[in-house]
Amino acid sequence: MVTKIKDWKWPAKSAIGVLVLLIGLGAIISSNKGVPIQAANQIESRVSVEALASNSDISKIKDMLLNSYQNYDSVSFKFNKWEQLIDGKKYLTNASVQVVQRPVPMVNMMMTSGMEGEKQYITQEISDGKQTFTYDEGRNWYFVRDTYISPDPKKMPAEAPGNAISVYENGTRIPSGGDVELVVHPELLAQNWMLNSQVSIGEVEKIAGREALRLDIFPSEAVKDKLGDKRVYWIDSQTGVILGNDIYYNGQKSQSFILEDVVFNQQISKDNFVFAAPQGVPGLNTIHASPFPE
Amino acid sequence: MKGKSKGLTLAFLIITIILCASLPVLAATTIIYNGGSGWSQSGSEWHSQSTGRDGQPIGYSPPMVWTWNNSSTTSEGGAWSIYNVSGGCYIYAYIPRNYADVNQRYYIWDNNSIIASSLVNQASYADQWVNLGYHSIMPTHTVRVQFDDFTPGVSSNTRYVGFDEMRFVF
Repeated sequence: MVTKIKDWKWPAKSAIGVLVLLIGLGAIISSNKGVPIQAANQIESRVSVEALASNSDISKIKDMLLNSYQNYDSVSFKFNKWEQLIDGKKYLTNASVQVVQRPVPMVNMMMTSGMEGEKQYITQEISDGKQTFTYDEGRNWYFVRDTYISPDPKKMPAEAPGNAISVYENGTRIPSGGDVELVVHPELLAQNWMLNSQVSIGEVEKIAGREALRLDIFPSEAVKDKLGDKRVYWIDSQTGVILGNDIYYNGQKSQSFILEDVVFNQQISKDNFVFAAPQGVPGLNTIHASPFPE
Repeated sequence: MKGKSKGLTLAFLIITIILCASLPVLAATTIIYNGGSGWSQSGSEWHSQSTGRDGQPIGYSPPMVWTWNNSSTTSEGGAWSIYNVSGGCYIYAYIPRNYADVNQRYYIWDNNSIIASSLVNQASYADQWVNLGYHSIMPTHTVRVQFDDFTPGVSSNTRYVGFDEMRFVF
């Protein structure tokens, strides 16, 4: 015998109603908390953008920086940075990076860093869109975690502090890359110095084989001691990716990086994003291994 | 009358459920202060700083603490922990404008496992919260952020390793 819903007693109807409500609320709360999802169809399609020029206003430049990841499908480059230390020796960071934004966000970064003329330590970060592998030679650690991709990468939690600097969780984070991450996440620049410093818009110059808009940023008096008296950034006119940076303290250039071999929108094989341990590291069967097994 | 009572009961149930579901979202932020509950530190060479070089208060809630970097081993370290968490969270580190300029990794732990690291160049931020990302933490577990002075490849005593507040948004 089949019972029609309309014949049910009201408590049963209420129970169904409450159940439906709970499922709905669950879905809303889950999405607010940013449960990891597969990203392939979540990234917004590339939009047509007008290139930056020397007469671009600051809001357009900021918009370019905040939406950079939507302006290209993939990029590969080499990153070379030096930083002056107080004893006169340079601290060097070199990295080879491949980033795919669409259809599935993927990252491959091989970075070395150390004092000039001394041992260079490897940091490797690879994400295939599902998991992220991080190897840290200095600590002799590696770990694997699920790649977190927010349903809305630009949306921060309501309780985020007002002066927070946040990288978009769009699947192409390179958290172990430090300044390497800044290159493909220029939203950091837009949120940071452009809000609290004086910005001078320069000319379009040729940097790393690309057209780049030069920005001279002058930190406020209160933070000059730390951030320097001038920071120059070269912003790729088409995409917003940061192609180069010089930092001056007391008029002296103390830090600098410039990208090399920059290639946008080239097909990059999935094979480049397969976890591969550096030489001397045993097979990767363990998730969240820490410290690194001897 | 009977129908009205049913309606009221149903409305009460719905409002109760909505309120209960909202509670964890409304009470979602916890700040762990250096020196406060949830903070732990090791080593002996710690410097407490209440004012910056400009003489003004420094840190989110002064004082902040700092130590020198060490090229060969961990001699000083600090950790911000929250026990029995409800789940994943965004984590923000406060970077003061002075006495914090190391390029160093924050390690995020879920109980006894490292689940992520985030390299932050403290020299790039001044009196700002830096988002260390969203991290999935198993409910009832402990989330811990670890930070220390061990900088392989960087000469000792050349960098300030700054420790201030850590904010967790669930």
